[in-house]
Amino acid sequence: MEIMEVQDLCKTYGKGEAKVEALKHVSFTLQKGEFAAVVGESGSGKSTLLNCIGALDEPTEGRILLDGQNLFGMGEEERTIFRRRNIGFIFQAFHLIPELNVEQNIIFPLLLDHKKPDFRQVDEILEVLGLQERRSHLPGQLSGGQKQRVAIGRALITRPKLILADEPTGNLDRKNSREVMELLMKASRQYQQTILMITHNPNLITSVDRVMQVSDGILTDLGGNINEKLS
Amino acid sequence: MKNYLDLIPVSAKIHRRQTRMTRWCIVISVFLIAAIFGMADMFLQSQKNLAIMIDGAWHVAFRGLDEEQMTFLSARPEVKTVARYAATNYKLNMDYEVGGVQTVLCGFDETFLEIYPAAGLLAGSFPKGMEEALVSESMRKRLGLGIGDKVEMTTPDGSLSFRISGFVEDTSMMLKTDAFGLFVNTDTYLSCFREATLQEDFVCYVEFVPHCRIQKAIKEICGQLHISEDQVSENAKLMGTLMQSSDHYILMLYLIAFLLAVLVAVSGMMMILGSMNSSVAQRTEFFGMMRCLGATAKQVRRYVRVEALFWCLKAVPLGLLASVVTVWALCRMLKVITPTWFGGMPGRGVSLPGLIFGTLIGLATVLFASRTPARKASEVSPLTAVSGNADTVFAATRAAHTGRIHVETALGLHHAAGSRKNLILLTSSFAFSIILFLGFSIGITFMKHAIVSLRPDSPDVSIIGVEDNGGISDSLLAELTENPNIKRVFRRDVSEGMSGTILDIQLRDQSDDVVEEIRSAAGDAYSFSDSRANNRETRAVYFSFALFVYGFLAVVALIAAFNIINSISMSVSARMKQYGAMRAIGISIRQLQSMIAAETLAYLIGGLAEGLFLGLPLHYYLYHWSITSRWGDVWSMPVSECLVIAAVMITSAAAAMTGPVRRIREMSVVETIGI
Repeated sequence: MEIMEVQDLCKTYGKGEAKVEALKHVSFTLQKGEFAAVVGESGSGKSTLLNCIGALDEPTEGRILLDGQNLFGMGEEERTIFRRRNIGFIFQAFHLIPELNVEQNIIFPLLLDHKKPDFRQVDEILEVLGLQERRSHLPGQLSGGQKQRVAIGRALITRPKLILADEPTGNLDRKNSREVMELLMKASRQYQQTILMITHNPNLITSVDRVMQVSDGILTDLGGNINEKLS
Repeated sequence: MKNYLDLIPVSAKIHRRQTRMTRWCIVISVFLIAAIFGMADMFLQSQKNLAIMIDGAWHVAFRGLDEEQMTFLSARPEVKTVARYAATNYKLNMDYEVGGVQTVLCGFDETFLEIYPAAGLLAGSFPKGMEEALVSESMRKRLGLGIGDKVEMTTPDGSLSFRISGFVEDTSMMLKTDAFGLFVNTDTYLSCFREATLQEDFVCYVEFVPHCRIQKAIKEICGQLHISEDQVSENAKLMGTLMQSSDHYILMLYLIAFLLAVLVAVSGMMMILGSMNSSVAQRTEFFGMMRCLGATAKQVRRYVRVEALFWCLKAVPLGLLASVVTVWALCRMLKVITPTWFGGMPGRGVSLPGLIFGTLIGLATVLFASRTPARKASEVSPLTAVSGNADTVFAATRAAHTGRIHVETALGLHHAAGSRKNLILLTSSFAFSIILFLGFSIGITFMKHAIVSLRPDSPDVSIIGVEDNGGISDSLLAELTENPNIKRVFRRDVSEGMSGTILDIQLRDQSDDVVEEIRSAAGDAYSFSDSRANNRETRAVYFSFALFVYGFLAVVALIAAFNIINSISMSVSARMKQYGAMRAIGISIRQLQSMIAAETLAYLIGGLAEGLFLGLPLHYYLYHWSITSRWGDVWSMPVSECLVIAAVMITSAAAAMTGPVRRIREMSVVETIGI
């Protein structure tokens, strides 16, 4: 089942001689439950692609459809609400709210919707992430790996249609990186969660379903098959 | 670059936006301090001018001195001018008349004209000979006199003849009582009227040299010349404005002014401290990076302090300039509206005490205020810069309560109250505005008590008709009412002391010609009272006082408004990265707006509560010292003052949110959180 479709996406910065084409006519689709990775060198345009897909940045041309809805066809407020319900973010620098404890950080997107969280679901996520003992801790009291696990929990809590992970292991050591990747894999398999991850670490892409490469703003699909991996 | 400190101007260029608010904060704090001290200085100068114009430039008057004491007194080095003065019939109850009009008779030395500008010589010269005299301008006009003419004065002991040597201005008292004045030199006076004058009516006015310690000089003079205390009187208003008064009440006013000055300085300090703390907190990553690259903690400390001084280079002169413009504008207003009284005010509005206090307090505060941020910056761990935690501006020590209220409101309240230090600093600086406002508002009460303002029905001239002469005719009333130069005529009957009718007249055209016209219409059958000069004095005193009292209050309200706007803006700037991350996760702009509103409200309520808790007792004591002790009025709750400052604060808080919300609206999430 097709969950996301990127159509002829272009992003240009500057004008005249200073004009930079960060993305050039990028098109691809993601299936539900697919775990895809976008690789590319620094400055290749992969972060721009992620920002556009996450509706944090507006493309110059093209469309992005998430579950059939055009992300840029709606107003700002509507898009913000759509984003918090349908797209989960995992950042390299975690970006947790320092004044909220682990549990509050995880349920933060639900609280923004003024929804009452389902605590059975919260307990389950905390257990999967191995954070039960830390649920009342503030971000300042956690290690880097723990912080990233909280960020994963926050991305999972709304059961979004898509999780965008921007170098999720960039700030972590090898052991923590491995653990984070295992969690992402588990989320993808256990919850049929679609994940698009940006990375430049070649070790991380061995376990994903599909790899795409961005070079000079052009996206090339390097293959992989969701059915193969799932089987 | 030769030194690591050379990085400061380079960094200032790059961090221009981040440090802009701190620089503005210094500018405005210096402006407010310099403006308030400058205004206080100009206020004293205006009141000094006024005191000299109304009561004269003398500092002390000695009564009943003999010739020998007088000679010793004039020889003292600290004495600038001595003028002997004596008067007869100043209560207009004796038979001294010129042309049938009651006449005040004075004898004084020529130096008296120097120290009493109100009696300005209009034409001619001071009477030198025994038979010469100066006469008042009204006598010249009404009797059609010229210099050299003879004037005959009837006295209880027969008539005396004087040759007119010149004319002097009428005093407001003479105009009001419709009396003439005749002035001779002291020697003539003594030879003619010594017998008719009481010893205590011989007064010796003394003006001391500038910067003399007058109280000390008086003590020495009294000790050496055996002068008793009841022979000495001070020119209270002038001495008060020179800060030389010995009056207990005026000393108390000095104390109150000093207290308010300290409060102003402290509020300026708090504003700068708050903004510098925030400026450093926003650049944690930068300082961490410096430590990473090998800067010692001491070097970082020095960097922050030199950077603060670097900001002062431009900010202090700018603040001083703004204060000069403000004080100049106020002085201009005084000079333009009442040129007769305040023509002598400094034209450029440059007040040395204002500039000195502004610079000193500004620099001292910046240096003092930079100590804490400098320490904080030097304590930044090098790891902070590279670990990605540099955006954690205020390390949270406890979690926000999100259980019962919306998460955005809970976070807003937590931003305000999460750090007790931050909460105390901000609410205290808000509270200070209230304390200052309540303190300065005593000035209005003081003004209303100390200065009798003109009532709406105060007449410019009055015509008094005694019942024995048939009162005032209806035809005169009708004629005056129809005169286009007259605004209003009030008729009132009096029965106290004498029975008769008084016509109180308010003029549209205040010129002498109109008054002469009224006088000739009334004829000689009635008494006439010209209150224009007296009204002008009252207006000038009230206006000059009100201008500065309301000026002070306006500046204090400005301090409150700026402080609130600046604090909220700083607080939002410090958390911009966090807001960016929240936007990425999906918080809406409206929710962020609620978050900032909750934070602002927390500061506002805290500030109001703290301000009233501390400000009301202060108001009570200041009121007690300055009003109750003098006029006996009992303190009552200053409700309107509280409402005004609360309204200023609430409006400022609402305005304070618009800037940050606009910045958030325009914020690029990608650039803010650096993804």
